[in-house]
Parts: sequence; C-alpha cells; structure tokens
Amino acid sequence: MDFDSFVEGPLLWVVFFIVLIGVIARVVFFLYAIIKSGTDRDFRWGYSLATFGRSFVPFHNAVTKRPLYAILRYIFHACLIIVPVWLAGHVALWEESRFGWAWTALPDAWADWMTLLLLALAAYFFFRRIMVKDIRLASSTSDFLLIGITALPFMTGYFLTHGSLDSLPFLGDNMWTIHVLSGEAMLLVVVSLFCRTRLSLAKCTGCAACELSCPTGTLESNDEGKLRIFTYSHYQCICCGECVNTCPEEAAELRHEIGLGGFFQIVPKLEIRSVQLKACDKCGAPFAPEPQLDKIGQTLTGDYLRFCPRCKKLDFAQTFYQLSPWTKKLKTANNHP
Amino acid sequence: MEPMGKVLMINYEKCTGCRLCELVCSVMHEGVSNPSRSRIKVVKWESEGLYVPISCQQCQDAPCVNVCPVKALSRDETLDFVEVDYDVCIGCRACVSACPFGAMSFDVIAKKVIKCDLCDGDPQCVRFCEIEAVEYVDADRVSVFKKRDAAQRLSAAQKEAAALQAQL
Repeated sequence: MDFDSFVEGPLLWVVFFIVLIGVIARVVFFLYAIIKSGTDRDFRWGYSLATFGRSFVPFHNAVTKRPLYAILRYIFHACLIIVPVWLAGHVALWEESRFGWAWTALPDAWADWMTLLLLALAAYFFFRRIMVKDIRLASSTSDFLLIGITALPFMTGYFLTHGSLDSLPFLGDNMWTIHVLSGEAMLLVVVSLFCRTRLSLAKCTGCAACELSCPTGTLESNDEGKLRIFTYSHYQCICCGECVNTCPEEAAELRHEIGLGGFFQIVPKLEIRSVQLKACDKCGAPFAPEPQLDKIGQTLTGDYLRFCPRCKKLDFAQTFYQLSPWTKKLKTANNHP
Repeated sequence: MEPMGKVLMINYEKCTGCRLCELVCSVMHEGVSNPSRSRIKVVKWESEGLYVPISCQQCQDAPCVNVCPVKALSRDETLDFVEVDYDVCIGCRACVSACPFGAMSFDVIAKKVIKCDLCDGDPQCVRFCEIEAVEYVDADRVSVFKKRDAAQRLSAAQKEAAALQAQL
C-alpha cells in the first residue's frame, strides 16, 4: 500500500476513531469535573447550563467588549463547521463508504464563497495577530500555528476543486494527499483544543474579581504568604466569558490552547498567574496585590496606602486616643514630675 | 421627606466597648451575629479603658468612589452617604485598599465589600446603643454639640479655678 492510499484509507479511519473517542472522553471528563467541583460549593446547574448554551449565541459576555471582532469570529467558525460537513464532495464520499450515509449537500457556489470568506478571515486574524502590538506580545507560537492548520485544508480543498495549481510539478500531483493529511491534522488538533482564560501579565492587577465572577469555580485565587496564586482547571471551564466581562483592566481573555497536557489534567489545577502581595508597613501582613496598589497610587496619594485596613483603623482610632483624657493626664504627669 | 444630611456622630468618651453595635450591625445586614462581618468596628485600648467605634466617614470627595474601576460606588442623594451598587460591583477590593480609615472591608463569607449604609435612615447601632456613644444627628448639629461640650469644659475649668483662688 503506498502512502497516498494509506493517508486516505486506514489513517483517516484511525483519525475519525480518535476524534470520536476524544470527544466522548472530553464530555465525560467535563461532567466529572463539574460534578466534583459542585459538591463543595453552591453550584447552580441551571445557571451553568444556561451560560454554556449562551456561548453559542453571538454577543454573549465574552465578546460584548469587541462586537465587530466577535461577528467575524462567529462567521469564521460557522464556515469552519458548515463547509466540511455539507460539502457535496464530502457527502458523496460518505455515501460511497461502507456506511452509505447521505445528506443534503451545500450548493457548490455557496461552499466556494464560504471557503473564500473563511480564508480571508483567517488571513485577517493572522495579520491582526502580527500587526497589533498588544496581541502579538500576548500570542504564542501555537496561536499562529493554529490559524495555519485551520486554513490549510480549506486552501488545498479550494485549489483541488478548481484545479488552479494543477500545472505545478509537486503540488499538482499531491494536492489530494496534502488536503486529506492537513484535514486529519486539523481534526486531531480540534480534539486537544481548549478555550482557556489568560490573564495578561502587563494589565492584570491581581484583584481577583474574575474569581468572584466565575460561576463554576474554575478560576481560583489563593493567598499563600506574599503571593496570590491564580489557578485554573480546564474541564470546569464552561467558557461563559464572565471573567472577560468582569475584568476592570481588560486583562482576562479566552483564547485557544492546544495541548495534550490539558487533556489529561482532569481535576488538578493549573497555576496560571502569581501576583506579589504588598505587606503592610506597620504590621507586615500582606493585604493587597502590588500592581493594584500602584494603580490606586495613580489616582490617590497618601501614606495610608502603605498600611493594611486593620492598621489604618488603628491609626484613625489613635488620633482619638491622643485626645483622650487618659493621654492628657499622662502628659501633664510627665510635665510636672 | 427623608432626613437630609444626617451623620453618625461617634462620642468615643461615652463608649463602654460592649460591642453591641457590631452584633446588631451584622444581624441587620447579614442575618447572623458575627462581629467580623459588621460595618462598625470598635478599636479597644483595654488598659486605658478607651474604646473608639469606627465606621464609614461618608467622605464628600471619597477615595473609594474615586478608585472604583466600574463606578459601583456613588453618593446617595436622599440620605447623603456613599453607597455600593452590588449589581455593578465586581469585588476587586480597590476601595478596601483606598479607604484611609479602614472602614471599608471585605466579607470573605458573602464575598462582597461591606460598608456602612446607615440602615436606610434608621441606624441599628444607634438604636441599640443605650449610652448614646453613637448618635444619628444632622450634620450641622455635630459642631453645635462640640461647641456645647467645649463651653461646658471651659465653664467647669473656670469654676475650678475660682474655687482654687478662693482657697488661697
């Protein structure tokens, strides 16, 4: 068996099998993590399911801050699912297969335009990620890779149906294999793809408002000594976008993450950020994250910002203490020994 | 018509440190008797017998209002106090760090910031304080009370001086 027929034969079935198993495993892991986390806190099933469903509808929490970008993203993802499933060529292949499944196919012209739209959007996302400085700094290699992997099957599929590159020596002969192979790669990536909350190092002040807004307890912060540590669990996250919506600094964002590490990390939590806590100048107890105090320092100036709330209270009471008859008596006693 | 511009006047010299105000405050707001969740706190110097109840000062240009990133804090017009809008509040605790008096605190059980809200015009700490160390009076009356206090002290000192002079 040569490589071409292996790619479009057994390998394709293996990939489909892995995807099927992977999706089932993910649903099971998700339910397990949700139920497990629900036992020790007041977990609201109705609310969680509602937010989970809402993330399929445009203009939910996570996207209201950038509506135009959100629309483009929804168009992109709609094309991403509709074109491969309802493409006439793919439907024909399923009908020829041993299952003999068949469903109504999308008109070829529609599929063409949707593919072009998707490629255009992919190019836009790619260049946006390169051109805009804030986004470039926050991106990792996998973010660029993901756009490439997603666009490749569509690009090769488009060339395949139109035969525009058939004249080229290598690509003309092997376009079919590249198309199938890239499609398989994309399916494998989809199985290990997560939507994960990121806290921008430059913007996050460590206030932990995101923790309070998280309905499933996915994002948690714990003050350990002089550090506030944020932890995150992949399978508890329902991608509701509450953290993105809540963050006053626009530091939280939900982004794709490829990784088998997250796939098998069912219950343990991943440390995603640690923030230094300011220690009170008087009693030494850590009381507030340093970046947040720096930010408050931009609006307010005052020595009291260096003290914890308890010491501030004591300080204020101290002024009354100094006025009290007891201290006055002490003073007069010292003056006339 | 609601009373305008009334404030909590704290007379620390009267306070006995019984902390009943802390209890009624937490019962009123949280439904439990837990002083750590109270909006008013009594700072104590036991050996001196000095007790200073501390609560929100309802500052005019309040630091907490200025630092709030989501504008959840505002001045209530009818009762003239700084109010937290819990529908808007995200719980970032910037106000807790910003308050110069430490009067704003974070309730770790209810997971929200807490501050004195004057109990909608009927402060329970005032209602239960038998010795009237905490009083709810018109803002312009506070200075009158202080003047009266000072005048009393002055006349007492004069009487004392006259008595001393008569002895000589």
